Amino acid sequence: MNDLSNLPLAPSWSLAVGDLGRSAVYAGLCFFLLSAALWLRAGKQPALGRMGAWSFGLGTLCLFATLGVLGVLFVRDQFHYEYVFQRAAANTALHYKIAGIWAGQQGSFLLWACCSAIFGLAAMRGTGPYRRWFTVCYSVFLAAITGILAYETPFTLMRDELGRALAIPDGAGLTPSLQNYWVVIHPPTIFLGFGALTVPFAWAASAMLLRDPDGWVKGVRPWTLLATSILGLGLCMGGFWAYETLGWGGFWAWDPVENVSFVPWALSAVFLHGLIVQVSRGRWKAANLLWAGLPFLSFVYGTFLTRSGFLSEASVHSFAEMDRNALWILLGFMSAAVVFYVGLWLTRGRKLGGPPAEEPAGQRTLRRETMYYYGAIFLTAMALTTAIGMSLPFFMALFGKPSKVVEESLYHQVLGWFFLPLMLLIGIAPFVSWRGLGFKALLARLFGALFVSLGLVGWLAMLVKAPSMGLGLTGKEHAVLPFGVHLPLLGWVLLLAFVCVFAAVANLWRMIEVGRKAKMSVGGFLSHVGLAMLMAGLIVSRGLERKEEVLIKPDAPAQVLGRYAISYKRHTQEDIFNRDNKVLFDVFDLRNSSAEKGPEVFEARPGLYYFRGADGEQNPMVWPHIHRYLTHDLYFTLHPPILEVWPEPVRFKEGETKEEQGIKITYMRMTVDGEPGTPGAQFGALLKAEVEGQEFFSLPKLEVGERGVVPLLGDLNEDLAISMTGMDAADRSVQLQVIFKLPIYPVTFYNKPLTSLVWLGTGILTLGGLLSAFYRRRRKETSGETRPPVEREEESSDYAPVPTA
Amino acid sequence: MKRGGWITAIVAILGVAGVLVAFSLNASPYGSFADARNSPAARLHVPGDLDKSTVAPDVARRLLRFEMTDLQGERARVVYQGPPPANLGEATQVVAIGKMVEGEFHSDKLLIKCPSKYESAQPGRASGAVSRR
Repeated sequence: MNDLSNLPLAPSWSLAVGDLGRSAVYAGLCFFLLSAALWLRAGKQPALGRMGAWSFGLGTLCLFATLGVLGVLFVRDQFHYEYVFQRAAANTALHYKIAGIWAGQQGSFLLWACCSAIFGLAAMRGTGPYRRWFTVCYSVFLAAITGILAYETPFTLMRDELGRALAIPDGAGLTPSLQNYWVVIHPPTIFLGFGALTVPFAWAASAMLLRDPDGWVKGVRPWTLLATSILGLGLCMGGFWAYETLGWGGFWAWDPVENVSFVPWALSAVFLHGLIVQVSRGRWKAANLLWAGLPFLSFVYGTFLTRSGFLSEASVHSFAEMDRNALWILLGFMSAAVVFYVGLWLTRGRKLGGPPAEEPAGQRTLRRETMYYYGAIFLTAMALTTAIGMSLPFFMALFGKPSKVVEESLYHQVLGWFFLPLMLLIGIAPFVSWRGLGFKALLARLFGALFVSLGLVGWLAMLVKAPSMGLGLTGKEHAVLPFGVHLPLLGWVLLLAFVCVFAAVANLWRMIEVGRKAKMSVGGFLSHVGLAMLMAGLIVSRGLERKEEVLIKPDAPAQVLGRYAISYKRHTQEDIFNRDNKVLFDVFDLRNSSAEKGPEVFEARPGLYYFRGADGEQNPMVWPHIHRYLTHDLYFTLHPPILEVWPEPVRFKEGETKEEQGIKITYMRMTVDGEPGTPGAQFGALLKAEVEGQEFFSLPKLEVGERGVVPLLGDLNEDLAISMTGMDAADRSVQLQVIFKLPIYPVTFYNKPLTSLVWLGTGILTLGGLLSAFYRRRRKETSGETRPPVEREEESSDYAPVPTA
Repeated sequence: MKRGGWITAIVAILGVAGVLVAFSLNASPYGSFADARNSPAARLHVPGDLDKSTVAPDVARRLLRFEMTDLQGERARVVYQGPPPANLGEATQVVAIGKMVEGEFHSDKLLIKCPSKYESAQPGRASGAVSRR
């Protein structure tokens, strides 16, 4: 930045826009504080409530204005703003400039606040008597987030020594792996989900403050359904990004960042089922009051954890630590929220449930509620376990112990214990009515679904064992379970797949049985079908994947997985620095060949380009290629190409002979052309080389140019050349490296069965959730009627036979 | 509280304690090259700064050699089994997972950290690039 002084001053409109953004943040803070204060006093003076509502609306408007201002700065390339500089460049495509808005911490907090505010605004009208405390809690939360934004503003200018903001022509750019379309839509989606979690939190707090545990559940249900669905979709999108970008061939790896989103989702799903029990049976009132707030609180905790720096050593992600003051606000808000909410529940909410209803005694029956009860326990256990796992580095730091991290395989080992019974419950519960069902009757009803599931899993087993699938399982693969138990991998994966298939079939079964009579229930069944398909897809595609690493020479095809042949074709771009460069390979399926056409072929187009790092060094960036079939994905990971043959350059003295990697080289003598020390002078090393029994002479050179020395390659044989990487004129020693004339491409090739289920399952899960939210929305005509204490609508949609003795 | 409540509470506490113990006993410890030398049997996560100029793939043996400086400031040679990870170019910091063998750190898994100036999409999801093997 030595030519900084030549730059013009930053345009004044841009500085004004930044000021506007900064003021909008402060204005928003004031409006939310005002809204909280007005509603606090609105108990006796309803007029204050109306003003408070306006204030809340204006605060929301301010947040969106801030977002808009930041967007303008990004789109108009205002790189004198540090936040913009670090996340965009002039040649960044427009949609990635927009993604840059939420690529940083301040922007993601802003997005969180906007999403949360918009849900608050939408839900507020339907909160009825709960509105006062609902708005107070909501406003305090938004004020806290806005306060953090005021401290840690995205509108910081980069100034020179004289304090002037200069118009900087280009930014550092968004990190290449984030330049993917999922990054454009995944964060807004997941933050809509996170934002919606504030609604049940604030509503439940309000219900506890009003000592009314009944009236809020029907109102909060559609919002909880919406929050869970959107959050689930956002989680899956994050997985899609990982799958399509990172090249390790998986969707989910239990990284702290993924866990921070998973825990609120799981708790929110538990709360959802609690709501159903309360609406249909009038029970679980006290538990629901607690569980309504846990998703929100766990997300605030997760945000704190990832921002606090405790995980920075223990995670793959390098977390930008927050400004200390902003972190204190977050910590303060989190502690206050937890103490307030849990304290309120312990002192008041816990007792609001009333005495538990009398159990019908003496009947050996299973009831739907029991199923929900154990389901809730297992899902909460999964959430809690994940939360403990992701907090482990934090706990270790608290106790002053060296850091530890829970690896992916450990999560799988522990969570499997909860996952198996949970999926079984998801399959059984739809068949059990609220009134209860005897075990024999239950078995009789489950028989069909069990039978179909077993058949499907058997078919799956045949499919994955079939040679046409190309998985080539040897049958000796093992899965490691806790306590050192080893199970055959295929058996273990099929067991996990079975519980998923059973859950999907059972829900589909019930959906068809009752769907016509009760459209309301379709969404619930559908979402469980989707969830089970998604899990089956994740389990089978990861558990039974086959992969092989292979080195591909440009002139020689290589064979992988005993079935596919890969041959290099070309690069699509001349310029290796072009982001659009793809490396084309033909992949032949040798098993699927016909006499006329030969083997089946597809073209793999993994991306490869180089970008310059901060020190001017060239860094490779690669993108995997995925070829999708209905039954499996072929996942093609290209690694940065290899040029060097020797692990590192070797130093030779004159007359010395060394052998490395089967290449024997004798350095005979140094040659000098031109006047040493002047441009154009060339130093050469006359070499005798022996490769595979053949002798060659070679003369690699170093030319002294205007800008330092340039190596001139010496020929070795058809494939290899020799490069002089350094020399010492004093003792006439040289440094040599043998290189490939054409780069060698290392490729990891995966065959991942049934990956299509992941996409299909995600779609069905989300569709089911949104359908439910739509059906359960509060309709205007019913909102005014006096509500019965317990609603029985679920019962009517249920096939409830008389329990057998 | 009723008896049922107490039983629930005890089971819940035991469950949480069990998970905590299971995780803390089996979690992979972080350490330095010195730690790795002192306990050659333990599988360790060693975070450190990657010296990109030393990255050298060994095609014949399918290895990747490089040097890195751990958080204690000790520099050591790492031998990584496998092709170069996809996003090694983006990396400034790496976490090498493995054991010390005769003065070299033998790793079969590399986690890539990217420059902190790049952050990613979620609060917490700082630089997104993760490489797992």
